[in-house]
Amino acid sequence: MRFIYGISTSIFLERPLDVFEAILFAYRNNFSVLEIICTAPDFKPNRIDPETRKQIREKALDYGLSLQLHAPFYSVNLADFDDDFRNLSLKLILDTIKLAYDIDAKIVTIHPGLCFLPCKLFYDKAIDILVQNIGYLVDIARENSVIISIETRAGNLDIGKPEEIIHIFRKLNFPSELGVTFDVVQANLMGNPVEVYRKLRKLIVNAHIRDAPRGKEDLLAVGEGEIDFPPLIKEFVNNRFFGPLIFEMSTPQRALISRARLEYILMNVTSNRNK
Amino acid sequence: MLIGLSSIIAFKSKLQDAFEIASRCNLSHVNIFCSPPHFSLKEPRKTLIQIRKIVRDKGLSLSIKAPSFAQNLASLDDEIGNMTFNQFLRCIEIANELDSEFIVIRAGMLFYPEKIHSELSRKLMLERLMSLLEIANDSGISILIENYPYPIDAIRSLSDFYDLFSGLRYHPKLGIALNIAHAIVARFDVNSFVKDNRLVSRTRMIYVGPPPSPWHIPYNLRGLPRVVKLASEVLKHVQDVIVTIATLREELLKKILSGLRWGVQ
Repeated sequence: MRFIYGISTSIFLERPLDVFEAILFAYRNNFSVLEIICTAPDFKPNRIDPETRKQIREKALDYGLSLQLHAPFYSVNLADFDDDFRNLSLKLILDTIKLAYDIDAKIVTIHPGLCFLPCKLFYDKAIDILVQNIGYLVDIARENSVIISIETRAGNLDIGKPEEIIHIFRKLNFPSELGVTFDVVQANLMGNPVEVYRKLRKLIVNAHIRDAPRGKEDLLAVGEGEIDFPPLIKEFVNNRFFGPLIFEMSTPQRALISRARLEYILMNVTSNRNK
Repeated sequence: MLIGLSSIIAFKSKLQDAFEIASRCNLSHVNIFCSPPHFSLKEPRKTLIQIRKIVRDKGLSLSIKAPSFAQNLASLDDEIGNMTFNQFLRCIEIANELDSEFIVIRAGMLFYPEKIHSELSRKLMLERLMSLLEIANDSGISILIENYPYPIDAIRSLSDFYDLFSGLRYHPKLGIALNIAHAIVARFDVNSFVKDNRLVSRTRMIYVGPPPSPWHIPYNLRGLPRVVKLASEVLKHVQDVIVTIATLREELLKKILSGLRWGVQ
């Protein structure tokens, strides 16, 4: 029993991103997946030229590395009442899907939307707008052989609680091109990560692994924060969810430490199971 | 000193209701919050003419609060930065159409990419702001920068204001909209602020509302007396200012109004 481990380019957060350095790091450290965070100015999808796309795809193929993308999320809001920003949000994600197709990335993780005052006062309308836009993205994803994965989000202004995500799936009739990226810290902010996982388990295609103090958002290594990982790992194993588990933390060292800790937890979980 | 209200008081109904409430409460100013479905930047000229007629009939003056949710003049994403710029430009046009003297904006947000490339994002923010100021200047409109309380905000402290004003060479059309609730949350040094005439003389608007902001519903009103008290103190130092009361609830508007009148006396 083995997990599929990956890294997020968040581990290079403290400096401008060099995507080829990230690919090399993933390869040399035996990770199977690289999730590239798409943000300007270092990695804005519509600014990646065809030659660079080709090189990324070929390097990843050479190294046996599977790629996935995290769509832009700053100022991106698929539930926005403002046409200009809503359409721009759609465009930024469509650019990401196109890039995913070109570099053969399988999953595009998105933040579903933000709920500012207009949304808080006209919530149902905002959710209708969101469902319509995600439905549109799913159609485009289907044409490009990509899965759109909605990330769990816990913030006061975020849309992305389990009930909201399930509502979106229901409205869209559970399309196969739509999945969920389970973010452990976001789930922890909602309460018990195991409970959140259970609500969404059949929809999860990807997981962001990191740690944080209780009630806080952070990018710490597994064990540096207060999340109780063993019950969650046990839940993953019981549900035969093997990943990808993407280490979304703030340094390369934290990713390496986290993998070692998860392996140790996994070893204990499976040995207890076999007793 | 003029006392007015933010049109968010009628966010759930329609903008015209904000004018009615202002009249009913003997207020003289309305700060229009530009956010659909309440008020869109795409409102046709016909609507703007109607608004201008209504406020003239009621003896109200207007100012424009630019949209401030996703908008980001400091964004390193050119599409986001340019769209923000164009929306703020439209706010200047609307202010012009409505005979308004001011637009109020959130200067920018510094997310991870903007923090990593801090010099570039600051440069972009200043360039975009300077271009807007030059355009506003041609119409005789001032741009007021509002302080925000969040760690991501480019303008949350007194030193941020100093940095911005010096970066924009104290442009004559650059002013301040001091948000008292935001200032309290961000531990903004209001005592030093009121002693600096360069900034105080440019303070043209003061927002007073429930902390941390009128968007945080349901309201926790425990901090409101402190906001009203601090606003009353600041008002002793500033002249020719518009006090904009920002709340979603009319009874709270009246409560703040009464507190302010008592505090200023």
